[in-house]
Amino acid sequence: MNNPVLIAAGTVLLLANAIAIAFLASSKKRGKAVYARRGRLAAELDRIETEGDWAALEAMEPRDIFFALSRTGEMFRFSSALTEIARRKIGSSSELLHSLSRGARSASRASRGLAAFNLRFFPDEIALPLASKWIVSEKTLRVRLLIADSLEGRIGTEQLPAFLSGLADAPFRHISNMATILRRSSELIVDHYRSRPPESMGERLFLVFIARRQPDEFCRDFLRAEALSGPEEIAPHAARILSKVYPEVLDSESFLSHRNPSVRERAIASLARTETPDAAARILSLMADPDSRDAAVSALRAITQSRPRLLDMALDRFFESKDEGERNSLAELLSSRLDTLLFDILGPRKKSILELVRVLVSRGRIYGILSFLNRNRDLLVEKEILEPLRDGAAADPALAEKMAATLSPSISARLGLAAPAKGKTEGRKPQTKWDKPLLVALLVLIVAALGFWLHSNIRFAADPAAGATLFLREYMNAFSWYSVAINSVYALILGFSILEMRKQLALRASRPSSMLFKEKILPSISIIVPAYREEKTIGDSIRALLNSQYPDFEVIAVNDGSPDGTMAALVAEFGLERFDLRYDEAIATEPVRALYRNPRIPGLTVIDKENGGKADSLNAGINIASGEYVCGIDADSLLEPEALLRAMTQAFESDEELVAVGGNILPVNGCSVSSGHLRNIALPKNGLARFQSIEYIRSFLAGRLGWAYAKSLLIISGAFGIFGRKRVLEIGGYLTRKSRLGRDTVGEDMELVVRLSRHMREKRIPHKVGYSFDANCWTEVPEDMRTLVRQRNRWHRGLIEILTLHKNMIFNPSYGRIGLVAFPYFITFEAIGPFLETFGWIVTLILGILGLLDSGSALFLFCASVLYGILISVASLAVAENQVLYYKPQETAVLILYAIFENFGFRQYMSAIRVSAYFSYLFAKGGWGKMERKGFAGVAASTPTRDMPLNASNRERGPRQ
Amino acid sequence: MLTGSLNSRKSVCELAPGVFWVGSDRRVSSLHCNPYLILDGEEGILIDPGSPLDFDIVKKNVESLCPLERITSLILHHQDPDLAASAPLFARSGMKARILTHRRTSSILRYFGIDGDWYFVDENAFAYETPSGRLLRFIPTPYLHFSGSIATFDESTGSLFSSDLFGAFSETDDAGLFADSSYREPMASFHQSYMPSHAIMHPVIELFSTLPMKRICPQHGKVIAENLSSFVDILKELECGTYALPVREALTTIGLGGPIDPVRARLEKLETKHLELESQLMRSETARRKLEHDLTRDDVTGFRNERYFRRFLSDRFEFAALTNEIGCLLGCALDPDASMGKLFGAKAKDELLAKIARFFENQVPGNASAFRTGVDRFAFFLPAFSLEDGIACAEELRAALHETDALGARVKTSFAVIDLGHFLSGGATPSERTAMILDRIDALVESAWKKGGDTVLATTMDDKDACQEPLLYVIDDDIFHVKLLEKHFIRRGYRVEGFYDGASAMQALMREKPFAIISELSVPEMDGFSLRRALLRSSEFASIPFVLCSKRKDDASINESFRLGIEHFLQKPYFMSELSAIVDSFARNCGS
Repeated sequence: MNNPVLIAAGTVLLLANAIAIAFLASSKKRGKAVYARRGRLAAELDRIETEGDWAALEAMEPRDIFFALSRTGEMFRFSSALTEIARRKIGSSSELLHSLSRGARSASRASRGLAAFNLRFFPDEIALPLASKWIVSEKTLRVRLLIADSLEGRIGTEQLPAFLSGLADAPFRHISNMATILRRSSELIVDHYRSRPPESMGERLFLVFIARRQPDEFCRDFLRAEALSGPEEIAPHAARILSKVYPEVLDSESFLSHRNPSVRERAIASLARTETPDAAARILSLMADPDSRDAAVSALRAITQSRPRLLDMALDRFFESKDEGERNSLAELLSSRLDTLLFDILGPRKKSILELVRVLVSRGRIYGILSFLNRNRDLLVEKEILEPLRDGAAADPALAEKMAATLSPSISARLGLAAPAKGKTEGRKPQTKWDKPLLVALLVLIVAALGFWLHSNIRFAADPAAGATLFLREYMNAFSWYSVAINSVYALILGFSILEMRKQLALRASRPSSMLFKEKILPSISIIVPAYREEKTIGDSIRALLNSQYPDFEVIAVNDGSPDGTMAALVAEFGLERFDLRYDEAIATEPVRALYRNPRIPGLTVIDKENGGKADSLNAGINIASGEYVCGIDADSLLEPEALLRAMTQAFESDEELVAVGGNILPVNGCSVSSGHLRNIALPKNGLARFQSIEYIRSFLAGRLGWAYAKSLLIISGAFGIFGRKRVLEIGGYLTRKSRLGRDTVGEDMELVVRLSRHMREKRIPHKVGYSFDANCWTEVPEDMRTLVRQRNRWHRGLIEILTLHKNMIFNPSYGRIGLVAFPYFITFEAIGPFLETFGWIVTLILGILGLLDSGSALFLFCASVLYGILISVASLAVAENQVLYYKPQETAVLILYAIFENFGFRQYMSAIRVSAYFSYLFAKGGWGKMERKGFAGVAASTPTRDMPLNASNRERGPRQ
Repeated sequence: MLTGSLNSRKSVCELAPGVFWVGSDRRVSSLHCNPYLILDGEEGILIDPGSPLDFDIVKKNVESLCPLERITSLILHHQDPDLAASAPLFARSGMKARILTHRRTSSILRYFGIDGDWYFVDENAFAYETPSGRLLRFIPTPYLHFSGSIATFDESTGSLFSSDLFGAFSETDDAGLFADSSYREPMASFHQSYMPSHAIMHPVIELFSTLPMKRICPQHGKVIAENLSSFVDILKELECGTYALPVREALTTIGLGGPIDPVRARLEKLETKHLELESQLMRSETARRKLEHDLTRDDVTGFRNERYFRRFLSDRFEFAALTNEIGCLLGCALDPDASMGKLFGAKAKDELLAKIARFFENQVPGNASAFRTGVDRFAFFLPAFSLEDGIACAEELRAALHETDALGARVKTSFAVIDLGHFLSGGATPSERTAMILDRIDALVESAWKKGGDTVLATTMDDKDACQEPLLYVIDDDIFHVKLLEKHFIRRGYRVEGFYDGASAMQALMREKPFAIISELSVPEMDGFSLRRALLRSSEFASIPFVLCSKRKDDASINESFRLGIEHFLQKPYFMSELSAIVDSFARNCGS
């Protein structure tokens, strides 16, 4: 290539860099201005309402009213007087009307969604006719929901048939969502169906949900009929609603012995709702029937909460019953109220209670008893309870060990138990040993190709030295072209990312979060937090997670046999107590030692288990999780409170099944953190961490987000990823030695996504692996080279492992884009690329030392690798700063500097590490490379520098326009 | 045998491996004192070290076995000077032992100048485990002869350190250390004089007899190492409480002169008559006690009743007139609806009351006296408590009762706290004063209920609320929301302070109290519920009206907010006018 072309290319790249930086600078100011204007307008509307200053409202621009309403609607509603005038003004603006009708006709789902959302700001005479025509022809379910949400409470009899038209063949979730949204119109809907009973399954199900809101005879009879003889898809729902609204209807033999177990269960539960001794007696009598036992137990459990006297009845029955199964069930029930019973052990029911204790001990269900003993101060009570425990301990040494480990030393001494032996504390290292010949062959192939190239150069050259020089020059040139290729791929993906981000922004703009928080609109999530040696941070992390802004979630912390005080810290922080729970161990894991809960914190469960690694802990959490989705989070990571909501809205947006969704991982080093909450975003102080900051930003924007757009995303970081629980169970959970796949991997997060995608492809279910551009998770990154090298080594080994494990997906058309695009990309640029790159830099170095470097090649390499690389980084940063991050201007400037510097050493070094990881994988050096945790306290020492709280400002950045 | 000749008090004697008698042969007022030392691995445990009179010898004896620095525990069975008064001297000589005793005993021990690291056996399940694993069990022996008396049983050697029980006066010439059959008589007479009654002593001796004892080491008299059961049997049957019987008292004042026949004849006659009278007296005494018990105790709870409470109060004031120190009175009322409403029948209610009483008994400080003063009223007298301590104690009781699962029902209570010191001076008659106090307590409890219950009110708490200052707290991490509400309520004439997390609002509360709080449920660091929970812990903040708002409003959060007594839980988007009306009504309520 000749120099002028190169110089021109270089200039273009430099210019592009400058433009990106300029864009970066301008976007900051824009954000602030929009924010201030909204605040001003909203306050003005509020003033008008308080003072009744309607004249001022009349004088306002329709656009401004529209703008203010669209922001405040998330928080509060204005009086109908103000709303009426505002709607009329907005409806009178031809400009706004035009954009509404254009949106409704648009081909883009996002634009239609936005128009559907905006419907709510228009007066009835405009919105209602438009909506009833539109909703009939609308194919996208989410847009239909939005139309309904916009007009809920305003729909009249004429429009109703249109809104109900699409229900006949809609999926279950859509029907239930629609019923939730239209609940204010239930009277109208019921009237509608009164004259014309629903026919299709969809409509019947819909009416079942609506009947819950409309207390009249018609609804009751409809529900009764559906519960009694409806099909399997409807009867349980009808029974559930009956048990909530008309429990007395279910109180009949035909329901109590219904063929469908879940209807039966509801009937028993509704008996419990009357909470009378008579009902309790009847439920107790149902205990005799093995099929009804579990339902009876949970029903009685609910009653005894508020009617403690009923415990006595259960206790009497327990004492009298001869049936072993019934006794077991009663013991189960009574054990849930142990505190009450044991406190009473000196009373008249002593004999029965002692008998119960004996049964519980013989079944190994001792934790409730032990926890009571530890809190009890009454020696006489203790003496009574110790007796059966002593017998149990004598009969079963394992039980004795459990007692000794749980009871306070003085009590276990009185029980005659030895102090507990210290559990084994060795962390086990995952082993890897699979098909390496392939990798060796690949390596040999690369070396052979290079060797052949060198050889042919030497053969055709005048002398070997000239041949070798020629080879080096040719290689350097090829390396420059390789750089052009890889950076172009990055640029392409960055382009995809921008498209994906715009798509997500547009969808978000049309998404009233008040609707997302309505019942069951979003799926429930179980957040699983594996913790190994996290004594310092675990309390804060869990507390912050419990404070997530999401409609329906639970937190499951898993102590992975930490040798430090992680478990003790959890118990102390949350006042946990052991409890016994039966659950299905769908995925085999290392043994679970105990489960903990605090009845006052219903959303938290803690699992204490033997050490088995992170994936094993996640599997243990998945077993016990009850959410529709599971979210794996590192215990040392900080999740922004809105992150779950931001990520999971993809489940709402997508008509395909969302199997996995990931979010950004960003370095927390340098940010100020207090009590597990991110106060201020700041750049890390440490240089190495700053390099990683720019790396992380690039990897999600010039990487994962774009891959998600291309429907080929394969990496969701283990630090924060959400997966459909049903699907994860189907594929047997994370890869561990204990799981049914019988293998360990160090890259369990990527492996799971690959296997999920594969599974869905093989089952031919339309699905989606999503990535949310602003669901942020902040994690500590290594600040010393040794830890960083170990971490990268592990990542790369994980990648190679997955490529070999799923090698039959490579170039396999039956796996679609993943087989044909994503896998080849990983092989070329991620597995082989580092070899080419490292070798390329060595060659350049050799040429430089020998003085053989000509200016043309050097300039080409500089443009292709350095300038182009910087452009990618700066452009990523510009995009990120526009929507995701909030670094201060001077920090952004520093980041740009680091984006430049990283091309001179850091990137090369990272490539070299990958090469060495390849070899260390071949020689099977295992291990995780655990980083030294500083704890958040160390990070939190930096002083807050911004006056605006982070979350508020970030929330402000989800624009609605 | 380590040192010393058998059966003399001349030197240290090893009673069992590692268990030593370390006393002197000095006899003061017919009493020998017996200090003991247990050496357990690296640890020395000193038991009842004795009086200053014996200090030098006991110290020498102890040091001959182990340096004072190694003595890590000191057991004091009760607070008599003959066993405890030398403890400060030991401390001054370099012994840094933790003191193992009953909390009630400790309150008196402090008057000796004894202080340091206390180990209250009543709060440690009446047991102490040495580092080497030796278990010492403590047996409460109440009113033998102090309410906080204990005895110690060393399981590993089977030694019972029985304190005054099994003790005896010693004859001048009998310096033997081990008891033989001649010991029975002096032991019996010692108990007759010192122990209050058969009824009190009998159960304790019964309990002792169940222990696998190998020897009994009393603090006076002799060590009983053989024929243990014969000594135990004597005490099981023995009637005691001599000084409670006036006739016998009369006899002892007459005294026994010499062998003069007429006197002897008269004495014998008297003796016969005396025995007769004594058995009569014993019967009437039993009857009297039963009657008194019936009259002064509440059947359901076992607490003293209101009658007794009135008498108790005036007694206390009489006593306080001497010391000028009295204490605090807690009045407690159960929420009649919340706790009793859902029970079936009177029996269930009584059972619940009995449980509550037991719960209180476990929770109140050891020196408190408890009374049932009405159907659902209790009172607790806390001697020498300051008002602040009394309030703290009431808050603790209130919270503990509210949170426990032991009762099977959620019980809400309100407490009134009164510093009785206020009533010490003033011209009222005792009965007027008692009436005044009871009225005051009732009034306070009533106003606690008016405030919604679950509160603690005290005499000094000024009822001025923060109402004068119309300060409103707004907490949300959505800055937009906070700013809008600030503007809105400032326009309505309130002062508004905005917070972006719960923790900083909590801090600000200490500085200035708002008349109402509006909080989002999910705010960082301390969410809405945690904040409300923290507020409920103190009666002062618990009464601040609390409005919760959130996008997330589901069954779980509604239940929790109901549990925390939050009446207003608005789901976003809410009507601004509704929030304004709620806040205005709070402002009106506290203005009145």
